[in-house]
Amino acid sequence: MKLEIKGLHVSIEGREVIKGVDLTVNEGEFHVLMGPNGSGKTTLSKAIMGHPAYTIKAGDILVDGTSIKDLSTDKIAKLGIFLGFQNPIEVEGLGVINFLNTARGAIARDNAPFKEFMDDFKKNVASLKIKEDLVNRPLNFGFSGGEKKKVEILQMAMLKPKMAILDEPDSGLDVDAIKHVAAKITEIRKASNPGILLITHYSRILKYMDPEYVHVMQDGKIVREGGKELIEEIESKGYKA
Amino acid sequence: MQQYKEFVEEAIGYYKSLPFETRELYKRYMINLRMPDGVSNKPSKEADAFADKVSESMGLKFDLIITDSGIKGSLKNIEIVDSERVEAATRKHMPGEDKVASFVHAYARKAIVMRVPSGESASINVLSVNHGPAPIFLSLVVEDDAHLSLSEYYFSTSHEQSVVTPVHELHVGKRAEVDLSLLHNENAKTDIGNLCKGSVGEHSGVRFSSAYIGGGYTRARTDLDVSDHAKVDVSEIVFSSDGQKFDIGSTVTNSKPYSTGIVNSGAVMSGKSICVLKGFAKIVKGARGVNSHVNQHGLILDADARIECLPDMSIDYSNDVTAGHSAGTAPISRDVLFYLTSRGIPEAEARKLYIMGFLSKYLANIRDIKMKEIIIATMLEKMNKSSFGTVPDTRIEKYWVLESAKK
Repeated sequence: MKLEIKGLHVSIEGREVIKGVDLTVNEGEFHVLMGPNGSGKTTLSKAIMGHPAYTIKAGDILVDGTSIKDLSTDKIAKLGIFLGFQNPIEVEGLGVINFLNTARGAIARDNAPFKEFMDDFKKNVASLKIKEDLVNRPLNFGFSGGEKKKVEILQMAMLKPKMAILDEPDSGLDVDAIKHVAAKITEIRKASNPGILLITHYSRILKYMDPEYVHVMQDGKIVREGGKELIEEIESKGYKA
Repeated sequence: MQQYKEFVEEAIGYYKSLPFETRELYKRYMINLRMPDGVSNKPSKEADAFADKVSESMGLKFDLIITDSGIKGSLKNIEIVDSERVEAATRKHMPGEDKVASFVHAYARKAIVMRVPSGESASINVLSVNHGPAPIFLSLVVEDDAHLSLSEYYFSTSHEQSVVTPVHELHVGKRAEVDLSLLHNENAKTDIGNLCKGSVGEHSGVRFSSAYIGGGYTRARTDLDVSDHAKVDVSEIVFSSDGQKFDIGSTVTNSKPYSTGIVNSGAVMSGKSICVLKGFAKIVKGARGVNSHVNQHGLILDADARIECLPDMSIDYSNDVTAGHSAGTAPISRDVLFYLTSRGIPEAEARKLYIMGFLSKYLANIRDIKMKEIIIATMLEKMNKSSFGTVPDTRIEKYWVLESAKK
């Protein structure tokens, strides 16, 4: 899958937040999007995923050459795009397994029997060091910040996307949890080779991963691009350098 | 006829001592039932056939089937009182001079007396089809250390106007357990007056769950008195669509120390439906160590739907009690829908997941798995119809239940 963002301008409630972004992520590539708070990173991720509150004023979002900007969110997901949320939503009364099995059925790329789904589920729960009782509780309900982030990566592992946009998968995690999440993302990359666009403020999680392309966003625009060396520069000099 | 209308209005108006009918605040939010033109109880030719079909489609064996042509079924510990002895029976099992008792004494043509003897257990399914306006009187006596699981299903096959008024008189002994569940899914022209009054003995537990899905106008009143170390969980679901009106009131009185009374009500409102939730918890003087809560929550699916939450408590502050009430209503969160649809789930399906999740805590109170599955199936059926937002048609040929419920 190839994801192309071309000259994108996005506004919310009449306020322009994305002010002309061009970005391409090919299958198997690992991109990092960094930037200070309020630079538009999360807005970009939600706009790609078709959030109804975000209006695309200009530009386009293409998947394998076809525009997706008018598609509903579920149809974008069915193409194989996954968004790992910065603040995963609590859904009262909806069990994690029920939710994931419904999502698996909706995306319909995986017609494996339920037993295989559960075997896969248990394996991923174990490797992410998710507490077993957590998966019997309503989705994200009462989870700690770190637990929510782990369950986002669990969903990514189970839904096997072709393109994953991961919005701050490291925030709220302790050092050990960051290692587990980073290892899982790396494992998914090796297994299914999705394109990845990882959004973060900090370089912590990137120490355990091997991104290829780094983009820096400020005030709704991508202002710098480079390789892994850019992470070290930002780490030492900050975004204002 | 005029006398009947006055009787039923006053009976459904319930005991004048309850705050729902007397205080001005509550009077402002009263749903009046429509009265049919006559009090005829015509035998329904369809009802028996419907009962057989619904029994087969639900995979349920009904121990009692109540239609206007009579009561079918028999069980140990259940006495069906015929019309000649009904007044004496209702006077015996429903003493007192209150309006509900007078209504039952004057108009009940059927009385069902269930007695679960000390130390015994009974599980009973009741189906009521096309019942007319004469009250269905159920006297439930659960003796010490006994257990009763009673599930009641109320349906209609026709579109004729009617009023259905089940009246429950519940007497629970010491250390007993009662699971009482009701599903009302009558047609749009049927009005429902559901009444339940009872006392719960020491160290006993009562779970009283009701789901109001069908019917035109509904007024329900529950009044339970809780004794020492006893626990009452009242759980109410209202699942409404266009034109339906609900007035649901429950009172739990913690009259003795260390008793627990919980009233949880959840309403999902669509179309131009209206729901008033009235929950009242009373903690009387001297009832130490009581735990009492009234919680009312609503989900608004359409701009024209309306819900009024009236949680209320009366507490003697000299007591050492834990008590609280809460109320809240909201539309389905756009962020939740975005989250669910971002996993490939279509919006209509995501809405269903959200609604069923919202109702899960109320469904959790129902121990009868079959009843729970049928309530879920009935709600899904209502949502699955492209006409969700209209009062359901409950004719058997259109009825649908979960595959698992049929087993």
